[in-house]
Amino acid sequence: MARRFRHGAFGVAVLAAVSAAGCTGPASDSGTGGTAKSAINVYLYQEPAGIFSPLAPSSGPDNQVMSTLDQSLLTVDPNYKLRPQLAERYDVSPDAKTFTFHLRPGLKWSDGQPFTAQDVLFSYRLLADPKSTSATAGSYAAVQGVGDFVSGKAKTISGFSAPDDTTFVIKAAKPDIGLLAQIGVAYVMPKHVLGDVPVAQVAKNAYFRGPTVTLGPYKFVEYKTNQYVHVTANPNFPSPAKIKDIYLKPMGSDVATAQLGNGGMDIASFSPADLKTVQGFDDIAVQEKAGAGFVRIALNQTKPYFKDVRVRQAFLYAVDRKTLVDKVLAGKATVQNSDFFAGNTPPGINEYGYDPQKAKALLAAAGWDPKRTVELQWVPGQRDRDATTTIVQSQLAAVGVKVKLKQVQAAQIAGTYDKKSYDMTLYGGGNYAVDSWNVNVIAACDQQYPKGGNIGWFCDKKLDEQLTKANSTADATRRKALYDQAVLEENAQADLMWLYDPMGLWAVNKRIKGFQAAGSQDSPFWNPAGWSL
Amino acid sequence: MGAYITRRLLINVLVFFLITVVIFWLVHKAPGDPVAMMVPADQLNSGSAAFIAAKRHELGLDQPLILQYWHWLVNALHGDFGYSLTNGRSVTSLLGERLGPTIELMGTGLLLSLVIAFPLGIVAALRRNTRVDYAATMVSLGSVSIPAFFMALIAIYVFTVRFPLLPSSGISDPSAPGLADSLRHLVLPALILGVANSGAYMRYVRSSMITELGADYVRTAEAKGATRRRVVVRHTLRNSLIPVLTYVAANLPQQLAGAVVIEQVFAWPGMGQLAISSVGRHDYSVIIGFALIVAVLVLISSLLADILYTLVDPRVRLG
Repeated sequence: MARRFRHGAFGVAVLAAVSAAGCTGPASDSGTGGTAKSAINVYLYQEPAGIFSPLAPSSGPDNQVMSTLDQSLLTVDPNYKLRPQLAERYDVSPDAKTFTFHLRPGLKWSDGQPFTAQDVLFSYRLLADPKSTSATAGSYAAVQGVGDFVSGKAKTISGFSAPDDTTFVIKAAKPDIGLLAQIGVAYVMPKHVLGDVPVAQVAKNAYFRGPTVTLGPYKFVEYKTNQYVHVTANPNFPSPAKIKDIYLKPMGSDVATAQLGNGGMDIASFSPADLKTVQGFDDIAVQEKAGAGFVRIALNQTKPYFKDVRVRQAFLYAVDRKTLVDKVLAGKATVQNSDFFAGNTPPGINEYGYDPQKAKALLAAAGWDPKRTVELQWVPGQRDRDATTTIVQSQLAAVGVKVKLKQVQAAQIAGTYDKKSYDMTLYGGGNYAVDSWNVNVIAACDQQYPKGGNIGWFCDKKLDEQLTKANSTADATRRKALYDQAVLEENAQADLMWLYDPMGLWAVNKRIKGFQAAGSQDSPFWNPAGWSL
Repeated sequence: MGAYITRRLLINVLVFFLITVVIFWLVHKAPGDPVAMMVPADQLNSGSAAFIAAKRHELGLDQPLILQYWHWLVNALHGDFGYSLTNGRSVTSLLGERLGPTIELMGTGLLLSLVIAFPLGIVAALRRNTRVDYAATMVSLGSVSIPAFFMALIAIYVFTVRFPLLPSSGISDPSAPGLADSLRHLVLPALILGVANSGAYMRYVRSSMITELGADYVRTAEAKGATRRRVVVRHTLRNSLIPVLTYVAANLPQQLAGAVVIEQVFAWPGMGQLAISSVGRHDYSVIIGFALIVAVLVLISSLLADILYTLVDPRVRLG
């Protein structure tokens, strides 16, 4: 009915507009949805793809929606620690090869069906099976039997088992403590809904466009494309959500900021450029959190001039990253000096402080040709990154490196990796805080693109050995000591031109309690069931 | 006239077919890979290459372009314009649900722009080279010169932040839907769209009126004793409508282009917003669907302009 009214409104809009505006109350109703006392509005920094599926490629806004709907064996808390979620507890064998998850008893899906280890087994088999077009299937390659299953030698994956309804076991092919962080956080899917769908068809199933059967604190109501995703409290959740309805809304950041001021938006991430504006809103509290990834420039080391470590080090010395953080990001970032999360790095790493003279000396020693021009490509549109490229260009010019800036579309980037044609590419993201093993995918020799995310084609066998040894060690103290050695090695090799780790900045209406900021605008929400008004 | 329209429609069908070829080719030849971009650099892992290959195969993107076009054309002739690469929804359904909001916004915006442009244009022409004319011209220039998105942001600041009277985004309030709510959401985007387009229309009305006011038949009518009011209302206004209506009809695609920007700023769930997000994601099928709707709009608006011309001016004969 409302829709018919809306389109019928067309003809009388001009006359009615003035009176409608005149009849409108003040800020209490911004008319933007979710204005009931038991509802809140949450900003999505991008429009969701609308596929709320753990099988789909990772998408920030879709993941944020899914964090209200779905649950996983383990979850990552705001301090980047793994916490049991569906699992009550978990055990790691002394050889770091077997992970046993003891599931919480008595859990139910939102439709009342019991949740069991069979749901987990079903989900993990799907996630590991490339035939399901699971975007994360590669992360499961380290599980015992996945290789044989994928190649057709085995009919099932021996590394997954559910000995009873509350136990799920993962066996790795070799010691691999980092596997926990990589696959332990995968969302579980309902076997009783999807179990009969052929594997090749599951990802396309309509369920993922409207996942009404969920395990999390909320269940899906509707996605009005481009407008909002409406989720409502799941009564079967063990400790039901205190806020009945959440409307997650994609919109421009300027509009979201405006809505924070008039009460139309309750929770929103924002950029450092808007910090003063947001701090000026009486009803809004600001939260900040160190990010788990970082912004960097990859140097294509298939190009001979980037193979020399002195060149890579010189590039770091040439750029005043501290001032860049202070000026461009209003101080809301930390300078990054390693692939590893800053909180996990040992004292004594080289901080590559701004030193143009040292940069010049290193470049001269490496025989850098001052007539050479290198291209720096990036996807424009993010203020901090746009500004950073011009600063990098001018500061490298000051030490005798000519840089040509090149804006590219997101869809073009992969082509430049395929051809190994780029010189320098600026990008950001990743999560290296939960487990240091995640660095492996961007730094290891066997992860060079297209086999992994090492898009600089960096290779250091010594680092590989250190990383592998650390990841094979179950004892946390010993593992930390081994990773510390790896950090020092990687820091000295300057595999990437590290720039900064931007903080996640969040504005929260003071009427909301229990919200804890995430490290970036695209991070899943932490414990929405704990939010209250 | 009937024969003319039939002939034009047949020509339009041929033109439309050629447009599909060009659009399909252009969209697929644009730099970039929609599947590869699904896995950003920070998400790459050892299985990414296999995933990308499997997805390309599933979507048929590993086939020769001409074969892809053939499949698309055959399906399109059966009313199936493909599926979004992003979320698997049918293009027909995606565009269908956006068409209503876009027509609502465009239509209201057009109506408002004409309501603003006609009185201003007429008064400016009648008071040519007076302060009233200069003032109207300034308004018109302002409307043409100030980008619509900038006006929109100012409007949002004024009407939602400084004086929180109206919603700043969306098409309705999910918790309180209804006619009044829909109108409140429509006010700002439609007003900005209307104001943004009114300047050009006002200039057309003014210059057209001035031309007609200087015509011989006006002097004749006045010599015969007709009042100024009667001459303007009965004669010059009607004749001056001819170029204005032609311009309005031919300008419909530009109206849509304006709506695209406004939809983006106000998070209005129309086709423009869908088109922008689809271009960003290289969602081929949706981009093609949107481009074809624009192409149809251009062809129809051109035909409409010709037909309107004959209806308003009996001297014009189509053939």
